[in-house]
Amino acid sequence: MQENTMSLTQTPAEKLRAERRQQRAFLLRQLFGNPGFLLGAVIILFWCLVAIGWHLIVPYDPFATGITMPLGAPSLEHWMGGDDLGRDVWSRVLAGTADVLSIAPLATVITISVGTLIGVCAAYFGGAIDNLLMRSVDILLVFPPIIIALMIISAIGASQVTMIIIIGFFGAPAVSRTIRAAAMREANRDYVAAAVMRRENNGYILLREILPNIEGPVAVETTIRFGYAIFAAASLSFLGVSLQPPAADWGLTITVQRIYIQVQPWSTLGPALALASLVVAVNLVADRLRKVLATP
Amino acid sequence: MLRFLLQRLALIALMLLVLSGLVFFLVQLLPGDLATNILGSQATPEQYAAMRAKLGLDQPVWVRYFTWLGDFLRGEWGHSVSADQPVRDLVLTRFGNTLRLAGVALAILIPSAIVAGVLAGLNEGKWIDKIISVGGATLTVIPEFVSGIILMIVFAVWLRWFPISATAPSDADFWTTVRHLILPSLPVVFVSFGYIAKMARSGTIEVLEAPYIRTATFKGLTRRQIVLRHVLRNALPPTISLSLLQASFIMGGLVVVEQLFTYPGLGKLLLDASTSHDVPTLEAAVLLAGIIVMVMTLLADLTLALLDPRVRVGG
Amino acid sequence: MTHAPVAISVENLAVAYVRKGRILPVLQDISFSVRPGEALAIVGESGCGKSTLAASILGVLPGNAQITYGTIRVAGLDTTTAGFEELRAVRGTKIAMVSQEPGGALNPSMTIGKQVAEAVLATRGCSATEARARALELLTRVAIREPQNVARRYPHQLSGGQQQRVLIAMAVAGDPSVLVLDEPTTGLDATVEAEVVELIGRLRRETGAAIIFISHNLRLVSRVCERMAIFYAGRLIEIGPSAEVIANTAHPYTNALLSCLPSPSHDKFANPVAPIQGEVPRPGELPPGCVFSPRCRFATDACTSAQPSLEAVEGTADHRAACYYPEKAEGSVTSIPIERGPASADDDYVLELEHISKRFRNLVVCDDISFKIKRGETLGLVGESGSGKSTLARCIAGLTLPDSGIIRLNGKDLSLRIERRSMASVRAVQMVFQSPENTLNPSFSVRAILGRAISRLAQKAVSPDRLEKLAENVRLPQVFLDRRPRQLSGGQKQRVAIARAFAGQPELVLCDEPVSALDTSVQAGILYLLTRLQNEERVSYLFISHDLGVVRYLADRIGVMYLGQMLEIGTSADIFAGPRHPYADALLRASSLDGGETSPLPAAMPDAQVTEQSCRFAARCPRAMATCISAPPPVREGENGHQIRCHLTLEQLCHPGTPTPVSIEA
Repeated sequence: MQENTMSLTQTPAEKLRAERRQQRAFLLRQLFGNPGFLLGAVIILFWCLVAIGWHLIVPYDPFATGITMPLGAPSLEHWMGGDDLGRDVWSRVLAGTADVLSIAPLATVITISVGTLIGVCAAYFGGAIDNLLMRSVDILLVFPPIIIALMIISAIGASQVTMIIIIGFFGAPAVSRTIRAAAMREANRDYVAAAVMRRENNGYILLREILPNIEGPVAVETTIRFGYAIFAAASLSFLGVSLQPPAADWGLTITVQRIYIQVQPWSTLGPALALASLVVAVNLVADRLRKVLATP
Repeated sequence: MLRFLLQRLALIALMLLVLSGLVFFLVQLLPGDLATNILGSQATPEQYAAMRAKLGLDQPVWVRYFTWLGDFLRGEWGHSVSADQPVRDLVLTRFGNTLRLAGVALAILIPSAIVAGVLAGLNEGKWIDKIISVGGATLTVIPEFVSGIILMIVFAVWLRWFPISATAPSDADFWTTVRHLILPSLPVVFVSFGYIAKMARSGTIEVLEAPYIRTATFKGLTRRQIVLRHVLRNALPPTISLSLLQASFIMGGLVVVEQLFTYPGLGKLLLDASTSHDVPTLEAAVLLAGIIVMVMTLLADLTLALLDPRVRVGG
Repeated sequence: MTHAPVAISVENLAVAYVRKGRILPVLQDISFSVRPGEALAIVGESGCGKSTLAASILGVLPGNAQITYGTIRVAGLDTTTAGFEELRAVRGTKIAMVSQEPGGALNPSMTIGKQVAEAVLATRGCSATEARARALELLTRVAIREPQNVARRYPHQLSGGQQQRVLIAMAVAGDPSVLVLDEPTTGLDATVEAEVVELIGRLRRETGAAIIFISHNLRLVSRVCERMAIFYAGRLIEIGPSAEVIANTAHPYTNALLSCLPSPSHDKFANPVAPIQGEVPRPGELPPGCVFSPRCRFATDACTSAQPSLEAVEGTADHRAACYYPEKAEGSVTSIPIERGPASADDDYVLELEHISKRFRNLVVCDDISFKIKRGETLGLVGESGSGKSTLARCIAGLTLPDSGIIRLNGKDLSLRIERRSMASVRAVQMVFQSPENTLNPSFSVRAILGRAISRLAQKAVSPDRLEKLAENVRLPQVFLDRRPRQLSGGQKQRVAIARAFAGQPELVLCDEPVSALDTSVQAGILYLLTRLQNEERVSYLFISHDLGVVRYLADRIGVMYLGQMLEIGTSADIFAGPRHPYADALLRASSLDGGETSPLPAAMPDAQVTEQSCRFAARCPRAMATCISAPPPVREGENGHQIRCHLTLEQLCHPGTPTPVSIEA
């Protein structure tokens, strides 16, 4: 009914645009109307803002020692107490955000681009190419990524760039499997055959015909992989192979401070809770996104 | 069936070759030269050359690789510089410790995750499903060292329910040893619990929606008969198989957990060897870890093959 | 009607789905009853509420559906309100069900014997040994050969027909008083379908159960059921004795449904099938008044204001229809003849195929196929699934690379690889696919889809004029140009797909089952469109279908494929007149197009070991002889290029009654 009254006043192109606007509005309502998604999005936004502007909001210099009593208990001035060198734990938690969030997003970009490229190519070209790509992915997926990453880092040394590349590439095989499955469904549809029968080139078919139809799985994978990238970056810095003291990074802080947990647990609990809140928030967003995009 | 097994074994052999190659060539990239390490920086170039020849370092890289691989397969794993004992003894002792920890983890993980997942699947959309699904998904994304440190602070420091050390005294009985291992195994359990429970849940739901469950219902079977004979019989094999595939994840998690609890297992050894550049130990530990994971993958395929008549009997 | 006891009665049933907070009625005001020993067919197109009816009767409605009104009584139990345990008590013994998709309806990890025995145990108290013995009896009763052997197998080792027989065996295990058959033959090949229908007919005479046979295939059910109920958009619009409903139709929809099925009385030019305007309304978009009024040419103000109730048709006892003007029903559709274009020249071949072969690993999908298609001609290709007809079309299209063979377009060699074909030949050979859901890219608008086709195939600039002309040519209203595929119905999507194929004036269009996923009433419109376009554009068709009725209607010549081989090819007239291949004969009997009784003949040598040397059809052929196993059959040449690949001579094939020289082992 609505459609009919609208068509009287609008040109077809306007109608199409209006319809797309409506769709987008509906999608956003579906996402932000969910308390879990909203909470997750707010937490992520919070940490992102902190990562950018931590030096504007930290109550104390996170690297200055002797600000509190060594391993001082939480107080009104120092919410999370102090660490072994008398640094303010809350300030260090805020400052540590930047380290995690500088690696994870770029690593996710690498993971998703490489994984999508492999998955789409395997699905569309099929045959020997598919076999070669997917068997390689199988092999890569079997090896415990942390162990291989450890070896690579100890061989070539840690830097922010190597961390991004290593974490980025290790996520790609899993992504390529999911994307391949989604792309396979599309590649087997007859509209792709119709494009082949117009002798469209492979680039056009991959980019214009197939890719737009797997946006959903790519978006879901992006959020999931972002969570894993945080997971991996934090784990590697916990193992002490990535950043070195006195960096305020959460994983590294836990490694350094954990020997004092029986005296003053807050210097480890602070960064642990911060990290937990971030990964859980990413998961809340990913979960809702998956549900909304799965139902047409 | 036999063909299937042979195919799998061939794949495993291939993967080991890739893994060992990767390990070997990465180790070549490690800073420092073995000859320099042994002779120190005061030796003459002639002494270097002699030492390099003695160590086989003058050979082409692929010859050295196959020599090394042959030695490894014969059980000659070399001598650990940092621990000053044969690598084989060191690695196998540590591996025993890891096996104990992994055993406790798996004993908690697999039954609880599968039961939870099946329960959630049978009660899709109800509160029990929501708790299990949301809880599982949340636990999965928290890194092991984060949940580990929280568990440690809450249960060992504040509540004192569990010992803070993962290593029991050497004369401890079985249950004391297990009690020491529960806290360190939980983070590993958490990470895989959500995944396995999710698989069990979706497997159960998929089977519940299958037309043959309708057929079973129309026969006049009781709910119990339908769940036991028709739902579980078809939902469990893929779930069990998928949970064995978590081995690679669990292995990675153990490295982290052993480091957190300073537990003398294979993972800790691996980490220490990589930071102290103890090459023979590192190579042996990584290869052993790889073999374990691959054996688990093989088991996963075999379980599925044995339990699914479509694979077992063929068309 | 009230004298005899009633096995099942449905009264004023209304069911609705709740979707996104909206209540969508799917069934409204349904009442009927079935007596013991009687068979009632429930006929309707997709979306008419058939499956919801079955689920309501059996008490297995999904969670988002609810019965808003009415009762269903089976053996004194109201299944609309009964709980699981109450229903369980009557399942198997009072009410049983055979579902569609036999492959999925059997537990894949349990042997057949165990599954049947389980059904026996659930319905009668007996020992496990007795149950096993009874299971074997049941398997024998549904005509399964070697029941002992079959009982030990798993479902995946059985053919579709065997699986369906096992399901039927389980359903009759407890001698139910009501048996619901939900599309039991959908997805089975025509000849297997005929066998299953025959089995159902035999069992109903033996058991005395009341049968509810749900199907979309009006002709098929009329063979087994003495009464039929026609459903449309969630309403029961006509019910009565099958013969009466077909002969004296009292509802325009029933009449339209009957006249849009291609039958031997149709001619694609002079008396084409008459399409019904519009589409079946979706739940939630029901029109006011009579649900059929928007598509009915007799609709009056009365029709659009209130839904007519089900009233007895004058002069009959048991025939009722929901129409204000039942007497007009018979004239509800008129077909508009198409003027036939000039006949094609005898040697003007658009396509010539020579020795096309294709294997997938060990499976031969196309075995040395050769034929020619003249300009403006339609070659129909029939065969069951797996016969290789689609692969053949994809080889011609360039989508699949054949292992060997030659394709000629207008007498010139055409490369087997599409990337080596000239744009002119790419334009000349286009394809219309089976599934309307997959044929259009969901992220493009119809305008974009057709625009791309014009710019690539016609090599012309896309102007609004050209687009609109193309859409008009397939009778697609302009407003649809700016829609996305998901906003179109199945028939509209197929029209867009046809327009896309015709964008560059093709010379040969490969139609791969273009109407088989569509509702019967929509099918006719597409068939009409294809005929008109062919006549106007002088295009040739390779028309693939498993439906012999559709192929007979559209095709000038017909090829019959079986397991990758062309068993027979010839003009439609010659094939239908005979002599014909035993397989073509079986297909024809199964489709009941010859009007006579359909009794499928059993295979003469069912356990024959077919080798590379044998005739492909030997194991299923009712007339198989020893030579059929040992030697490949010769090609028998008849008139007008008629070819039959068979050991029997044309003379022998003329007499289908000739007893086979080999004795039939039971």
